Amino acid sequence: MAKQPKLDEKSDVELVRLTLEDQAVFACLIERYEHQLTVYVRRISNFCEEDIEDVLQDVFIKVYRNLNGFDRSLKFSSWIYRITHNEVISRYRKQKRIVKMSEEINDEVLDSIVAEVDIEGEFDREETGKIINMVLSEMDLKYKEIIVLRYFEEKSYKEISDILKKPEGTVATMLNRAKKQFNKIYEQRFK
Amino acid sequence: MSKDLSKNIIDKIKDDKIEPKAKWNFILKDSFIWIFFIVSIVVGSLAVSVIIHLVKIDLNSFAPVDANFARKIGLLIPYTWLIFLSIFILVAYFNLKNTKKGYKVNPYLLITMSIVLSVIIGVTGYAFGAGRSVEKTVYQKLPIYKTIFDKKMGYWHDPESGRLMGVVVDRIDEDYYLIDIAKEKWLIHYSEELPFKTKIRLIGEMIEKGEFRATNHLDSNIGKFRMPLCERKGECMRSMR
Repeated sequence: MAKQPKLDEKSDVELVRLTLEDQAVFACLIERYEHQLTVYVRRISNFCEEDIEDVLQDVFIKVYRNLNGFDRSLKFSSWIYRITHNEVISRYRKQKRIVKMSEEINDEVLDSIVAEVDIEGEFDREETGKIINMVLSEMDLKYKEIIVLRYFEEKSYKEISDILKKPEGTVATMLNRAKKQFNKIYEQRFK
Repeated sequence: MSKDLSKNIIDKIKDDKIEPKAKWNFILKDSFIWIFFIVSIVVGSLAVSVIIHLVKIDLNSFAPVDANFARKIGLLIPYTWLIFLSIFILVAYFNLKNTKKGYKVNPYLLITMSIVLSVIIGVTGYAFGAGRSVEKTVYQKLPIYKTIFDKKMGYWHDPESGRLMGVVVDRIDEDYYLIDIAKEKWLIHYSEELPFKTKIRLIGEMIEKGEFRATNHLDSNIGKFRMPLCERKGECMRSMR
């Protein structure tokens, strides 16, 4: 592959167009999204590393197959997150593994979640991060996912609407319910 | 994992000769969704036309019947067509939801849109006689519908409950002779004129077997809407015997 340094600077949409001309360009899109999708899948699914890699492989193959169907009115990131979401849901139904989330939570995410839910008490940042992970691990997938998308992936309501294929109003309602469930589990476990 | 993953995927794409699906696949899929949506709305609209047609006929037919309000409503509701309409409104909704932007709209709004569209087109279709011709065609072509319809029409041949259906064959002074759909002869006491050789429905009371006092009658032309029963008298009679 004669990979030009310029490719890294190109937009997602341009990379899609170029991939349709030269499949090798697809490697750029994979590298651009691989890490964030790995973290996203890990957060919402609790799959083991091997399964996550399988999920990502299937996701990227699906993306490649469906490049011509990419709706340009969407952000490419919303589209690829949607495909990942669908893939996780389909695998999640097959194998419900309960493993505690271990992904580290950075300070910014931690602050935004703490500001939205009712975590009280004298916890340091590391402990709070662990509590959030434990609570998320026990939440329903649909609620956990919306919290992950909103606070961890920092997606807007519109992006979440495009990823989950739900109206923005429904996204807002689900987010509220997700916070309620978060608080309920937190109270049961830590109060 | 990074280098491995992208390399693995590119290798798999090459080894398995995976190609992006052609654009026409997606255009075709979107077109099918819209076509199914339109078909569902059209079929739902025809159901609306038939519902209006049947309710209007039955409103005329059941108005003089001595039954309580709930019973009359029960007789008036064209259940088969309402189920049919509901199915196609749901199909229309699911198609609309699966269009590219369908998920952005509130599901209740999508269902309301499907219902409103079906009703508007259905009322228009009814005005052009679609309800009558569709119902007639379905009656002739769909045996299960014919069975359901005839069963409902059987309501009109129950002399003990004050409903009698048949053809007037003779008149003596103030009374008439009628042959019912079971080929039984009846003496009818009725103060008004009755048409001969035409299928009629009488409402009143049975005095004894073979004798009936009528208080009201319905013939084949009530207002501008002819009754399906009268159009189908031969078939109806056979199936009810």
